[in-house]
Amino acid sequence: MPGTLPSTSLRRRSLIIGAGVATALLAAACSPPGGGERSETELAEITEPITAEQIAELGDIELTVWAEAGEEETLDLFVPEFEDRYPNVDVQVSVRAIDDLVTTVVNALNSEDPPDVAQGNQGFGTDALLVEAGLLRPLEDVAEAYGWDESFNDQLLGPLRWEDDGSQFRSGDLYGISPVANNIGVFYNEEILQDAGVEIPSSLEEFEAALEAVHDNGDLPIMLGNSEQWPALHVYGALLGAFADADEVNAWISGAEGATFETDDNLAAAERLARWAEQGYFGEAYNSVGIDDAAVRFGGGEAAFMVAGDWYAPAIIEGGGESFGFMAPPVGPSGSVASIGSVSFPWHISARTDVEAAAIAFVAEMNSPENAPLLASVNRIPVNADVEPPGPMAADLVAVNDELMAADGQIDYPDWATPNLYSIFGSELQNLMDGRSEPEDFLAAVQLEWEDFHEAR
Amino acid sequence: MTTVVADSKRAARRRAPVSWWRAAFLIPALIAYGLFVLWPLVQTVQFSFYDWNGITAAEPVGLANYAEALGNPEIRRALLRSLVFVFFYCLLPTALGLVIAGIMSRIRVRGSSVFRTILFMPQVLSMVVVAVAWRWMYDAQGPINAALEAVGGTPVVFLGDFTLALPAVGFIGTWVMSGLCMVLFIAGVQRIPPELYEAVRLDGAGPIREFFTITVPSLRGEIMVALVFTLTVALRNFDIVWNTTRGGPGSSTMVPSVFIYDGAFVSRQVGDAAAVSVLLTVLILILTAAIIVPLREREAK
Repeated sequence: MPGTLPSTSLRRRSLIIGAGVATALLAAACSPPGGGERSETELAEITEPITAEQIAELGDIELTVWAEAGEEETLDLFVPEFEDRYPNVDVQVSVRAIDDLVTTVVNALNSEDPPDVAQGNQGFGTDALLVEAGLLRPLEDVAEAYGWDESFNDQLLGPLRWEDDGSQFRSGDLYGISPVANNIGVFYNEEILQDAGVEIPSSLEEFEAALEAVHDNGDLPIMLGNSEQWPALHVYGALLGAFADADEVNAWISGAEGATFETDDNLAAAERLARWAEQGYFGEAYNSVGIDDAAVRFGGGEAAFMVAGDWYAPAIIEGGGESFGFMAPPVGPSGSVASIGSVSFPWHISARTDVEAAAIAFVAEMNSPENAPLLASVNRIPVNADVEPPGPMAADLVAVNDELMAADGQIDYPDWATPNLYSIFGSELQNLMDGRSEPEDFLAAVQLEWEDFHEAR
Repeated sequence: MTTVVADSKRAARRRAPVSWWRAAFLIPALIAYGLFVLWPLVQTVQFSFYDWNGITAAEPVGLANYAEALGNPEIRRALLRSLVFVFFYCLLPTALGLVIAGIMSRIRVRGSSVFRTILFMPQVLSMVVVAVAWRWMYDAQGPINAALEAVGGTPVVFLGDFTLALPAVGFIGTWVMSGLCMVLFIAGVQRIPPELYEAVRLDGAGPIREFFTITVPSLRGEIMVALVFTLTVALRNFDIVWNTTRGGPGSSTMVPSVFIYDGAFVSRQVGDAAAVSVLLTVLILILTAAIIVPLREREAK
């Protein structure tokens, strides 16, 4: 009869089979996950730049490259040039949005067939793990052979140096490099400011006066798109620059013993952010707008300021508006100009690459001063060479970068401090800005996570 | 008598050699199932007993991850939020589907197949597409707010508001799931013998009585399928939440699956994430059983 239940004996038999399969699976799963041998680099150190002959010796090869989406324009120009120089190399680029990149790149580099070259992210969330697991080729010899100590500012390379157990950065060997600056600054729309009768502000007092004037004039003072939760951290970072000492914040981020986030300066910055939100300077809808949409809206003339990364410049000027500019965050009680800023997502070479010479050449040539004009032509700001900016907005970006470097005012991205802080800063800042938590609670939550993380190490 | 015996003998002969031979056809599917469902499940259970960052050597910690998960008030709150989703993803669509099926059992709507196709559409779309579309719908400058303003209301920030975000995300689930429930129930209604309706009408029952005495009991099997399916989606929902609010603002739409994603891929506490996954799976199994068992028993009676 169709549709009847299996007989008892059949049922029992399938139970036995099921139990057997489960036991087998469990037995197979008994050894602890992870570990494996730490892949020791057997690759020889280089003393001279890689030559075309060395790469030609590799025969016809593929060089796989994982990059962040912001690099797409650069790679579209750079890769054909690279393949022209080394005709036996076929570069396979795979581009990911930053959130997708950081969630997948660690496992990819740990796989049997890792990308030869990949971008990571500074800090304890991504790069620490890559270094600890021995997945990256140290770049000290490459730096020396290619003279990076001359072309790069040493301070900028700090977050790319790691102790080889991944326990601390700013000391140890160099593991990554990027020729491009990523600074947080203030985009402004001069038209809206003029409309409200204010000048472009430079001090925190002037900036706040401008916010009030714009608000009273019926315009939105600051465009914020915070549905991804992290963009508010960049606004807070600009305020940190106004209030706090960059070195002190950086020491906390890189895990200096006994450091604390609960300082008067950090508190003042948090209070200011909460007050701006309360006064409606970000509007009401900021938590429901994505950051990319916010950049486009700002470019369409919907707000006076946007406190955000310089990489939004292309999206902002794409609308064709002429009244936009970019400046460093206003100087506050800290007395000197400072903001979140670093080089962009670092280029790494896999410790397991079998086309090492090509991988080194790719990264080194991407980071050579000769490549700087190419970067500038796609509105990237090279940190290792002086270039002629292709337009007024690009000139502003370069000026801000120069200003920050001259003042040693670059603060690391605060979410580098622990793997969890990316999420914690996100939700805690939303709570703070909505008046659901006090500035003190925000600092305490961050510090608690920091202490938990460093205690467990 | 003899024919019965002969029949059962023939049946036995037909069945006996067949079971193992038939089972051979299951092997390819079993291998795929084992590899892509059972094996990851076993691995997840295993990971849940370790402190592991996903890469370097793991450290066994026994049940510590479970203790931590159960002791974490944020995770308990996330589970409670899941129950809100059960209302929006499961109960509301089932109720809506039943009402529509009830109406359609009485009146023939002209062009009803077009109507059905449109209501079923959300099921066909990828959840990411749905989420992006609703982000636009809910946007401060989107169509819902435009409509509100047109009738003189003030704009509402749905997804950016601490209290409105959860029901707003939940309603997207209602929109997605209602069409599925409706199609299931309408198909079921067509199977109900018209005599039953005639009989109950002769007894003088109105549409509401008819709905509760004939339509709903006859659809018990379909209701069970709909509840089990939508409940599972409600509890493990990730894509819609992630692509609309990422658990925010604050943690007002943080559900267990967002915790799991965060632990597995962002903060790299694979053990914690695995423990929450296992707890969520157990919760889904318990709730599914709570739906199936009573409905089955009534059917058996």
